[in-house]
Amino acid sequence: MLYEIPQIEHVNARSTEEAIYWLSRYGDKAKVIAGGTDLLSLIKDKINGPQMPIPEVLINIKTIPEMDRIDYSPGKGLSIGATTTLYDIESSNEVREKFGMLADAAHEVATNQIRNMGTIGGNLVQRPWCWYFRVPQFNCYKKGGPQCYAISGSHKYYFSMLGLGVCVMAHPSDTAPALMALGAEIVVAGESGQRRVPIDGFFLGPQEVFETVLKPNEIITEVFIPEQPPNTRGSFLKSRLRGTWDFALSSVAARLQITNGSYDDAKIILGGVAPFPFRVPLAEDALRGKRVDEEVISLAAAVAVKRAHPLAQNGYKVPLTQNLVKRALMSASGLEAEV
Amino acid sequence: MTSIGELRLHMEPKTLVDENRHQNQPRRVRRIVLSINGDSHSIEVDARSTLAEVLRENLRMTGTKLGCNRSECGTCTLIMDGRTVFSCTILAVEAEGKCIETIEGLASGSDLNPLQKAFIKNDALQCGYCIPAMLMAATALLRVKMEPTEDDVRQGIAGVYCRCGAYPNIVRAVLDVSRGQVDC
Ligand code: SF4
Ligand code: FES
Ligand code: FES
Repeated sequence: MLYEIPQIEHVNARSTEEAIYWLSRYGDKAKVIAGGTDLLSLIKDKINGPQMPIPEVLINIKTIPEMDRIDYSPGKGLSIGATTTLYDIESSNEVREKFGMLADAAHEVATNQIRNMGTIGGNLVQRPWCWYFRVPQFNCYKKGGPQCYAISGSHKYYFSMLGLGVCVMAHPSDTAPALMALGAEIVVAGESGQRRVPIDGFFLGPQEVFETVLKPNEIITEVFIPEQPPNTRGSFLKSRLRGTWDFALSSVAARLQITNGSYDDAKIILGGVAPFPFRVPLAEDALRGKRVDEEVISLAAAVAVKRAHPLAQNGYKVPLTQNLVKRALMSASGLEAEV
Repeated sequence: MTSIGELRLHMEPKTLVDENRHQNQPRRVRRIVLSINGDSHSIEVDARSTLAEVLRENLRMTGTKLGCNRSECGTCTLIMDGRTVFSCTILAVEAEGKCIETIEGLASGSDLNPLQKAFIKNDALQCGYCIPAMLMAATALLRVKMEPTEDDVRQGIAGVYCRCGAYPNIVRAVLDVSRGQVDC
């Protein structure tokens, strides 16, 4: 037998309360499992650190009925249960029609099988896909070690170009930038009840061991997206090396509100270039109140990468991201980009 | 919109205090029933066993292959509830109650199905290691897209690596069978 997974205990939770009960009872030793595409790989590779012991108890939350659902209420918004698969999201008519950039982002994740298994909650809390993090031999900063191996090592592809702190991982989620552009809320349940975290405050900086505010005994139960004003247009674009499987070298989620040919409001989020989905308010300001026009857009795209501080091997990400921002803004503005 | 509502955690949750209480404890070993290619198999499995391990080792259905064993190569692809998944990354205990289809279910006896014949006719195999996964991915695709374009086929099998690079003939085989160009 292969048995790369060490002995574990397993329980199917039938309610959110039950999942949290087991989490609190077993503490550090337990983890919830949904799609498992990230968690089981981490367990097989025995990735651990002082704050992330290898789990001994797995609590299956796919057996909680109300976690797997997409409910749209006109005027209010879209509520997606945490274990809804990425495939269900990309193929939902309501998501496609009302929140198209989320459907596009979900479709851009990895490959068919991963989207059939992977969930929206898991996509938000996946651990770094930094290749030093993923092998046990490198006890890097994120695992409680003294240093980041990527800075002096190989960091051409899936790393930050923004020079924000110790860990230079690039946040791998494709759905997170889209959800941030759409102003989503992450509903989190824990021992003391339920809280709603605006997604702007959900991700943490590179100084922290974990990438999100989720505590070890908390779980995501729902992702909520408020109804968008009727003049909203959006676009999600991802640039990657391979046409399938691959993480973003850079991605852009842009959400614009346009009235009478000028921008009322704009939100621009970059993915794959920072340790968390990175909002660029200055680029948004460069659009607000301006007329819809290619020159305005080009200027905003240039502003979007102004803060860039690439590593030795990933300077190419700066023009790549600038162009991607421009293309996303052109497409969301209904303009044809010249090639 | 439904919301989960207030959580009461000072006591054991309701779902634990019913008569099934003792059945729903974390366990290392569990007896499960798997439905594979229409047959039910009742087996005792380790909670840590993946579906691929149980198929290959406990049930001796070795048609499903393993490559990376961690969601990276697609070699272990099979169909669960109509969708392609990686059997190396699904715990067998979580596959209970699902409709599992493997490569063993394609042929009837020694009679290969049209898709399998198309693979042979188009010389779509080199070492053959990825072929069970390719066939399952193509089967899932052809159920939802009866007349796929070449691009659909490429997308449909994109999650399976072929180390031999037999892709062109694999794509041709899938297109052939969708166009009815295989004698059965
Ligand atoms: S980038 Fe982050 S995860 Fe990767 S080696 Fe550095 S500290 Fe570790
Ligand atoms: S063996 Fe399952 S994806 Fe490689
Ligand atoms: S035929 Fe050898 S891996 Fe595909």
